[in-house]
Amino acid sequence: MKRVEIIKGEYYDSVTLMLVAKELKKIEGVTEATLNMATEANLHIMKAAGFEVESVNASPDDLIIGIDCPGKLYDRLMEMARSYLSSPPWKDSEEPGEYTPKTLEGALSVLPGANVALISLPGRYAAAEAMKALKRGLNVMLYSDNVSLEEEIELKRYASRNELIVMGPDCGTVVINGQGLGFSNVCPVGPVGIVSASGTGLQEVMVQLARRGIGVKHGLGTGGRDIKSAVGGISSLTAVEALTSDPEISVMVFISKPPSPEVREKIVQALRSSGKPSVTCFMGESPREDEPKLKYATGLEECATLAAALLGGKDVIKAREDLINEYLKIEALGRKSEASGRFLRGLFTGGTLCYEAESIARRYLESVYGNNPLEIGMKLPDSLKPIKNSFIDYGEDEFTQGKLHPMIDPSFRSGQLRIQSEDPSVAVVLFDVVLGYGSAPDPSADVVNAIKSLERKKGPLYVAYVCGTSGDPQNLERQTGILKEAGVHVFESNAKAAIFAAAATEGRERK
Amino acid sequence: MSLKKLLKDGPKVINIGIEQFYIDHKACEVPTVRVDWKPPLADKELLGKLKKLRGGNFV
Amino acid sequence: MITLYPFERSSDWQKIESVMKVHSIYSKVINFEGDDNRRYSLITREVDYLPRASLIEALPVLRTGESVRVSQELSSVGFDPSINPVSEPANLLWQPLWSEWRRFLLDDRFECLLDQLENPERMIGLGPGTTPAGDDFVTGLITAFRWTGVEVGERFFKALEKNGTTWFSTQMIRDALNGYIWKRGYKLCQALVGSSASEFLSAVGSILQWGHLSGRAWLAGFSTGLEGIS
Repeated sequence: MKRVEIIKGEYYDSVTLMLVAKELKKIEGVTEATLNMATEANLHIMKAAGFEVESVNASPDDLIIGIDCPGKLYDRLMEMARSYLSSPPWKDSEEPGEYTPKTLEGALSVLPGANVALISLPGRYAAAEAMKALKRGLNVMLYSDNVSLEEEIELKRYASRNELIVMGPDCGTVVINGQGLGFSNVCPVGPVGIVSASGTGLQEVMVQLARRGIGVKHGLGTGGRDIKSAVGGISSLTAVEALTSDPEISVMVFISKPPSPEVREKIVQALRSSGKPSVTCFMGESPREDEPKLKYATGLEECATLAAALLGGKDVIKAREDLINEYLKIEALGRKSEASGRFLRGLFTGGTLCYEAESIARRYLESVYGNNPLEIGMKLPDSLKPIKNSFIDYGEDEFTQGKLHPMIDPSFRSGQLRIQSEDPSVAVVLFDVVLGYGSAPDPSADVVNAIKSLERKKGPLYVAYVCGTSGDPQNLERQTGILKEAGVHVFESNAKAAIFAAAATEGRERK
Repeated sequence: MSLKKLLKDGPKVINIGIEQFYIDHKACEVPTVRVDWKPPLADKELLGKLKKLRGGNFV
Repeated sequence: MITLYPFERSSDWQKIESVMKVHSIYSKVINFEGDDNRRYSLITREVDYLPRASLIEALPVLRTGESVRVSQELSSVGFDPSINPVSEPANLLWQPLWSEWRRFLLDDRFECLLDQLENPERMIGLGPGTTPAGDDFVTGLITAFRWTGVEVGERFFKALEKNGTTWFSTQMIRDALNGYIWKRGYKLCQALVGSSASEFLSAVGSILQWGHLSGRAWLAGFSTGLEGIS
């Protein structure tokens, strides 16, 4: 039996809510337990999962607990939930040995030399804290999403006037002097500097460079909206300027979705003036002619390939050709595969990986829908009910209000993967597994459990890309290994996985 | 501290929010401190009572 | 009657030989009532030093109400609990941190205390906890006054006489009024005039470890004493 309860006006961070839900689910008889801040998006998700939320009177500052269990257990379980919330059972019974400051000012007393604030609060609180940090002379890495455009512009204008940078909103990965902040893979340090308007885009390029033996010194995030005309590329240009003046950087890389035309022009001009060989990757753009010192890539792996060629003084044209030949081989392999069903479902935790994969899929497939689609008319009315060929980014705002990002808590995506896989019209399921600091400890295991619990007789073809390096805490070999063992086709880049999956689905839609 | 200085000196991070990031930074020996953040006060009556205390940042 | 021989003591435990009665027994501390009706304690860890305490290798097995003899003939002084009014002011670097402790009063278990902010002596005996949190707050408050050389008004002495609270709390408040401090508090004061972040954070952490509710209340009181009530 599914029931809900509201706890008014209590603040709990998403990790605590996730862990309490996990503890409740361990109890015998509990089929489902979910704790969320009562945002509209979360209520929608709970409704889709069968919880009665229509008559619920709650605001986004209230906590809603949903439990599916036998009726007689319900009261006890609710009591346990409240008890876990006030005294988390996974924490040490004693208080920690050291005091943790409760304010930014307090933290500055402890670390007066601090130079960056990493802010991962719920969106409605994040901007105010970011401004406080800027006023105290700190640069800001704004991991939070659900920050308004107006707030972003105000923060970035202030930063720009004060020689600071705001990296974000929605910036999950930054590398400074070889040290990763937020989500980051363990990569070598080297003479490449990257500016990226997308988190997993930065991760993928760094991982692909690492696989080619090349290191990155700085990877600066700007947030996805920075390249739109409203923001005007403030952080992008600040970042390019800073990398230009770093003598240890020999090659510059810029990654984003296609910018607004005037912002694009400013960025390209800044890269030209830097005097350093550069590669831009405006993903999804059509290929254009390279300039002597500025190369144009349209995909993440291609971007890394060109940067590697530039560094090694190799022929860029040949490097591109070699990569294309690899892609053609994989495409041929995909076309030969057997699959039952008609459609491709791309289910992603990394936003840029989803974007790139979708953009590749559109070259092979007729109608491609999504919750954040490349084509405006192709937006799914309900992201929980994909149709035909669909690409879902589970890190999108609608899924992360008062909820953890799927790279941290992969359970929601795995649940959806299972649901999609049961659909007999689905021929191919394409997904990403992102490793590194900040990510879940065993993300492949979650997916493999979902795959193994499939009831459908002839399941879909599973295709995956594991974005990680051998230095990552999750153990790349093991993560790849368990996927392969479960019958998943694993590829070495996001592009390769997408090409294979799309080629395998090509032509099936009309069947 | 300016961006250029940040890039030169390496990060010294104040973490406000997700604890895992703080834990990871500590593991990598990045100078770091965590803020055990709470939302600002909404209750006016409570605020009134606390304002009797000098100093302190209650908002 | 058994005789106990601690190896170290606080400087205010002056009698060489005393007979006292067991008042309360804990895993790491035993409290006694002396013939002067005051609390004496046997402790096993240095960090637990408080006024009239002695360090012993291991706690003997005793019963509440039992009488024991304590001999200081083998002990040396290990701790001086007198509050020395500070010659240099607290390092303002720590002000944003001590200002945070007033937020502990937001805990809704402390609501009754918040109501008495303007007349803190009324907090004596009030609030949750084995030692009522109000007593911890008042102790912290008075300690801060003593430490910064602020005069402590008669009202606290009077309130203690009038209101009454638990035996342990009464001893604790009286000690503060008389200018004595526990070791955890002493370490905090040391850290406050220093500039070591780790020393400061450990000192505060140690107070919070002592008692979840009590530690917070004490720190809230101490911080209020440092800053004042308008």
